[in-house]
Amino acid sequence: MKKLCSLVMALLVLLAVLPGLNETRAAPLRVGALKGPTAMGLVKLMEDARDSTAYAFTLAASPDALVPALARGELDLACLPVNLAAILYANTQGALRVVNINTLGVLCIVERGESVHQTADLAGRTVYASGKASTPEYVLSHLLTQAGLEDVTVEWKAEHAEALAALLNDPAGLAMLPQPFVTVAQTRNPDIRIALDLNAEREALGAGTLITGVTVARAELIDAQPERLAAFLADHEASAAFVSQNIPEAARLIGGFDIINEQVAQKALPYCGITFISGEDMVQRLQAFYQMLFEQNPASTGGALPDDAFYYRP
Amino acid sequence: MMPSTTGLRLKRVPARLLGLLFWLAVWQAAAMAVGHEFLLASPLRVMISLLELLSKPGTYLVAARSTWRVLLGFLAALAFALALAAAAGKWELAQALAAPLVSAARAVPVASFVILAIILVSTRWLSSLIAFVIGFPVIYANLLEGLRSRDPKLSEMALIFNVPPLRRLMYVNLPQLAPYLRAGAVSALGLCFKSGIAAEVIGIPPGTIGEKLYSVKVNYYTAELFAWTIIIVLLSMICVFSLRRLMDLGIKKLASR
Amino acid sequence: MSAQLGFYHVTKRFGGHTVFLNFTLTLPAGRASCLMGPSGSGKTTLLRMLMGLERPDAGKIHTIRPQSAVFQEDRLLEHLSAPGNLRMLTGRSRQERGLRLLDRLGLGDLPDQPVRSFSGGMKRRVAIARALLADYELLLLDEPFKGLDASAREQAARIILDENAGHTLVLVTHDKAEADLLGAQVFELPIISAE
Repeated sequence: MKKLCSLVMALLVLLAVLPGLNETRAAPLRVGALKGPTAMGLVKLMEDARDSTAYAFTLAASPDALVPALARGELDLACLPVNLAAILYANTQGALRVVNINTLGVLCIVERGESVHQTADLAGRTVYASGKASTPEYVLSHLLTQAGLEDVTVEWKAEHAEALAALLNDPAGLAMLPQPFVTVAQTRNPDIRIALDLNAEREALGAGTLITGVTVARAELIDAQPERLAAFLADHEASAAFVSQNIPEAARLIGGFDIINEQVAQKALPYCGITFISGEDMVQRLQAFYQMLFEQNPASTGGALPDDAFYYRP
Repeated sequence: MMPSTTGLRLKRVPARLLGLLFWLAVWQAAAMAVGHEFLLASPLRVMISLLELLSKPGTYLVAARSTWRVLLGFLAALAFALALAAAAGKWELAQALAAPLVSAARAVPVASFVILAIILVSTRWLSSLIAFVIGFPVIYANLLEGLRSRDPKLSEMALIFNVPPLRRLMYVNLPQLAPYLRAGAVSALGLCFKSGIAAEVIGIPPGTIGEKLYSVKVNYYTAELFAWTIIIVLLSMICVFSLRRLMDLGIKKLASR
Repeated sequence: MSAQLGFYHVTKRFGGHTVFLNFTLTLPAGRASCLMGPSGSGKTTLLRMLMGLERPDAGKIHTIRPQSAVFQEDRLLEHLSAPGNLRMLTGRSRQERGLRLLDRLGLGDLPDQPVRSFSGGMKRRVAIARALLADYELLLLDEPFKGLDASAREQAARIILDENAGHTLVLVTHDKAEADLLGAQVFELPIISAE
């Protein structure tokens, strides 16, 4: 009788504890992303994960919503601009690590004419641009220096829309804008033409990959649940591949998640640089890119080059 | 020694110092609670950042540029408000015409003005324009109140004695208006600074404080953000103090004519 | 022929109260006249009509310009000194006469003090000095010696007569002694009973 009672007790305790165990293991991974190209590669995963509790996604219009959440541990993963990732690494004493590159170069020089066909054609011109004190500024500056152009005037605007407005006001003007905003602008102003793809221009000058967005994960997560991170990376890679190869379906999802309008997404997706690069390839490219940023302005990567511990190697 | 009924009787300087120290302590506690310097910088980090800024000559150039542009807008506001008030004081029609203009300038939010202004003028004149638009209604309203508060008996007296216009201004009207002008101008100058710098953050004209604030904010250099804010407050205080002194000097001169 | 200084069939109402009804009075040029009446009889109103600050409801006023006045209130520029108040009339370059007048009125020792710190009698004397300094054809005085003691009154009256030198002077008061000091011809004002 006593043995039976203790057995029943043990079973009861086990039954009480088990659901708790399940729950901690099943707590969703909280992923944050900006409404833009960096989130586009995720949409298939977001769609598939609707019914499961494996992931909880947050889409934000600006980094200001994601950064504090990441810092306080309210997000496990985030897709961020590449320089912001380095700055946060420096500012959180290594609480974050970069796990993949999700968006390559998306910067273009646009105009309403046919005057620019190569970087050298920028000489003596005025460019309206957005993204001051951020990657676009350093990328442009680096490109102009590499191409030996010193007389290009850049007028910085605080918003893409402002730079576009300046371009529309100036028939001979040029603007540096990111995708998918360029495509958005083109739907309303068909005479806007992409004069230069800065990614291509950089590669032509041997300057390495232009990177826009990366995914970071909290170091705590990586150390405590490496298998969940690996699962996420696999899912992310699959989602990115799907988006690149199934544009109409991906565009529908993108519109559904309110990232950008579906028709615009259809046209813009091929130019948004969506990708998935991890491992040693990621490390090489990122290190080269951060080096370029750091040389332009040490403050752009948080005051120092991220050390080796910043990079996640599976 | 009569005991104060409200408790501790503190002398002015230690009381102010105590207040400052209290809020510094609150700030430090809040920063520690948040835990991340780049979300809420601690007073110490901000001090260090401030000293770093003050050791760079570039800082002074940027500060001077922004200050000069704000002051330009303020001076324009002063001149315009004086002219408008003079007209309104003389002609009812002028006051009626000015009223909607002044009301609009007061009611429309600064941000709306800035967004409009960015489209219309180059960023070089942005902060001056905004300072002007924000400043003149305040000075004008104060002057109008001053005009209404004039002693009609003195105006009658000046009329009977046929006092020529310039002397009427310097002896009778200006001394009565002076306190109102002083209050309005000092008030307006503070607002000009706030709104002018805010405009700079939206328009990011190169080489200005607003551009610095923008760059620093985008990269989460919160300590520098606070440090620049302190610089702005100091600049504003210096200008307001100087304006008060100048106006008091002017009032004194009027009294010794 | 130009009309004589005075009131011609003047009616003046204040609220429901008629102060003057068909009132006619001419005043001699170049001489001192006194409009005499008790408080509330509207004598200040008559002065204001001569100054052009009030209009009659009926009738006409003929007045002379330029004018100078000592008002019922002092109406000084309180933030200025006594000489400062006078400079309002003369400007900085022609202060001499004003300073001498102040001296004769016993205010010569206070060149820098703002008049707001003066006693009532001192302020009155500044007002008198100012009135005499102006360039005028008609001098209007409303109870000019209010607040002055007997000897100060005599002194002030003498100085007024000296400086006035034959211009028309109209005095308004309830006190016959003031009229006598200035040698003014007294005109009693009609009193209208309240309606």
